[in-house]
Amino acid sequence: MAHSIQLYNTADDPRVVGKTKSTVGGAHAITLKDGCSIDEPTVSLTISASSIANANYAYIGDFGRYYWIRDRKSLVNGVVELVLESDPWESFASQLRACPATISRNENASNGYLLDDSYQLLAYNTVVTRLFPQGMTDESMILMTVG
Amino acid sequence: MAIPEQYRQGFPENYSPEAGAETQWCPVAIKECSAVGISGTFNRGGIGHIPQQTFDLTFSQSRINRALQFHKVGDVYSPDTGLNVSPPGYPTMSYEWVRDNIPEHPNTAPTSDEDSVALFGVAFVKGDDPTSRLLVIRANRSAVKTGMIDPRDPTERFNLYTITFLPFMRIYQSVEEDIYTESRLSNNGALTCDVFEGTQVRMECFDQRFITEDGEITDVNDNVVETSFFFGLSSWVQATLPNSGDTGRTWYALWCPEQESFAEYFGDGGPYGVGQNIYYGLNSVQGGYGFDGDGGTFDFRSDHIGIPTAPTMGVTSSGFYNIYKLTGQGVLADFGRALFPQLPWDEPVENTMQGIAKVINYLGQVNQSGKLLDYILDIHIIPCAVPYGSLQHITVGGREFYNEQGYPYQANVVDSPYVSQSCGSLAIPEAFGNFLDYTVRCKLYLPFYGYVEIPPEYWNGGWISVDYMFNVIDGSFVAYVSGRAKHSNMNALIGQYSGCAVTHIPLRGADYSAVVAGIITTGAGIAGSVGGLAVGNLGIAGAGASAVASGLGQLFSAKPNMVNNGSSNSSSAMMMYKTPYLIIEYPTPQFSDRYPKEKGLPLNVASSLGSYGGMTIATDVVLDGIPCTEREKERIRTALKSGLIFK
Repeated sequence: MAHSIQLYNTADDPRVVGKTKSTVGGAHAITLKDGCSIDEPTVSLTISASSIANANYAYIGDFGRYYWIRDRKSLVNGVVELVLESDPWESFASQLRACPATISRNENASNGYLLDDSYQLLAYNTVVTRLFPQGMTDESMILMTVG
Repeated sequence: MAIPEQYRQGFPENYSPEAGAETQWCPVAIKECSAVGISGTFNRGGIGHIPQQTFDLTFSQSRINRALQFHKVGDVYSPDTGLNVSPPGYPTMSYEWVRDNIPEHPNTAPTSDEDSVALFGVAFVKGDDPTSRLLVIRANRSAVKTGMIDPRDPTERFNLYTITFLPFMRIYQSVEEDIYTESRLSNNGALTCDVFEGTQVRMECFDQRFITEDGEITDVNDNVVETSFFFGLSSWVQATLPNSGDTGRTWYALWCPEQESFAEYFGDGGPYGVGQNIYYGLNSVQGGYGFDGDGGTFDFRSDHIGIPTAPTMGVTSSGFYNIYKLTGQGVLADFGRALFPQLPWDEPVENTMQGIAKVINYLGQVNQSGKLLDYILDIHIIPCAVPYGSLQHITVGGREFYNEQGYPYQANVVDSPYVSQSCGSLAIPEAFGNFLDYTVRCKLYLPFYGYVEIPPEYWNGGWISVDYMFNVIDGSFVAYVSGRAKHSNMNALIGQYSGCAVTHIPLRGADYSAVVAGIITTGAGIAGSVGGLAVGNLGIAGAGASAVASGLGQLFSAKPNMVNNGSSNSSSAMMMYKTPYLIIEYPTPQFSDRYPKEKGLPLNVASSLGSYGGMTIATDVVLDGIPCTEREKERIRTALKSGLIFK
């Protein structure tokens, strides 16, 4: 069965869901290496290596997945072999976004009263004094007698 | 003003309140609910404590009031500035601030109970209608009391409420089930009607009625219609009631100790539900799970514990003792001369017998004076002003004493053996508005006693007050420490500390020896302060960090403690500083601007992973509905534990 691959370049952090990708050329037919898995396939395509020098990301539509290009090898006869590793959070981004979970930390929302053991403190404390509004300013001399 | 993000869900994307729109009140939460919700039972339990199920309001976007502004409880809205302004140093206002500062405001001066407090109110906002302002439900005391209503005091039981409402509204007060009597409007739109606790209130707005108890919304013909408005719920203090067209009024939102905003009351869905159920849930209050699956049922509201009143009986009520307050310099010297007679050696005697008689008479007087000393129980100095009554002759053993001119020695009689002295209260706002506020250490210095440590849960974001009661007779005292905190549902006496602050004036040599012995042996050792916080990024108790076990952590843990007290007895206590004060040790945080982006901030919210965007960390995610391989799922779980960045 023939498959095709679309190559991309992305500068986003690998942890980003919703990466910004720019295409590198068009779709190319690929040949799967025997015995590879769907999430870590090795594919070969006939293309000049220099034309895809800046490609670091790929999409195989038949597998419904995005892939990191982990390695590339130039073989004979203008064949380039790409070692791919799937990017599951990009590949299943919509399902992942909708997945219910207990979010323990987030960049944009927080509950400040939860303990944060990653917080940085300086070595010294700040000591503050506060005086109450009134004190005992009076004195009284008392005489106690009987009779 | 832009709508804060947490309230924005459900609004049209391009919606924003019109700049300059008239606002004269402070809603603190907007909620989509299903019926007008001021039902008949008012539970007093603390400021703003309104059972969640009581309020169920509906709204329609067709009635959006573009003048809405969103405030937190504690904000001050001033029509002059149009801004949320809190007084400097008081990001969360307490009732004390409002009480102490309202008289200075040109529009306010609560002078009577009736004007002093609105427990809560519902603000109706109708489009750009300038008369649509405010429904205020005020509290009047059920019993005759003086002074301003203290909303902190749950003994302030109210069974009479005054409702003031707006010209487009009518209030119906039920006298029997489903039978309502109409309260009419006044011409100026500010009308009051009294309803009693337990009364069901039906509010009619725009000729349509909102039934309070079951959520039905009907028109004037009792046909169920769908009509709804924005409602804001707030709790504030206002000195005088609003009138139609009134624009020059500042509203003060009362500090709500249980929640930062009323949004937290309404957690059950709705586009404005910020999220009691989202963030915490009812189950969070009840522990989440329990034997019956619903957690516990403990009511977390606290009883108010106030300062006790002085005992009614004391030494002065016996009638057997005379207690005098001495004033004036040298009064004891004059009195002493009268107490101890002088032998008139210079008076001539005619013969020896007369001289002997004079000596015997003198010796008799000396003997009598010695016995009189037994009737002087004590002379002492105590560090407080003592209330006194009229001048009376000083009597000792039934005898009165006169000076050389024949005038009697007099002193003011002490009325009561107990004297109260208030040192006031300190409002201590949170310094950080986060967990760091609850890592602080606080020592309270109590005059004549020493230092006591008070956990931040008892005062942070709230106040501490100190009051003393002295026993005039022996100089003993009790210092009462009361507190209230932002996140603690209590307003109570949190500590009572007793001691003795008196300087005895010895009358005889034996007395003096006893005083000196007291100094040596009866020192009241007072516990010194304990060590400071863990510092640096070395873990805070309970946070689970492991760095404390390191050598560096031990180094910081070995910081010396500062002992603030030695032993003291009653006399040295008199030389101690006489005004209470707090010593608070705050951590000094260093927060990188990139910290949220790189590590995320603690949240603990049940939501969909993509809800909040940005760096998102979730542990133990159940990845249902993702058609990937198990190895990919494991990679997703691993990635979520360290964080994925949702764009």
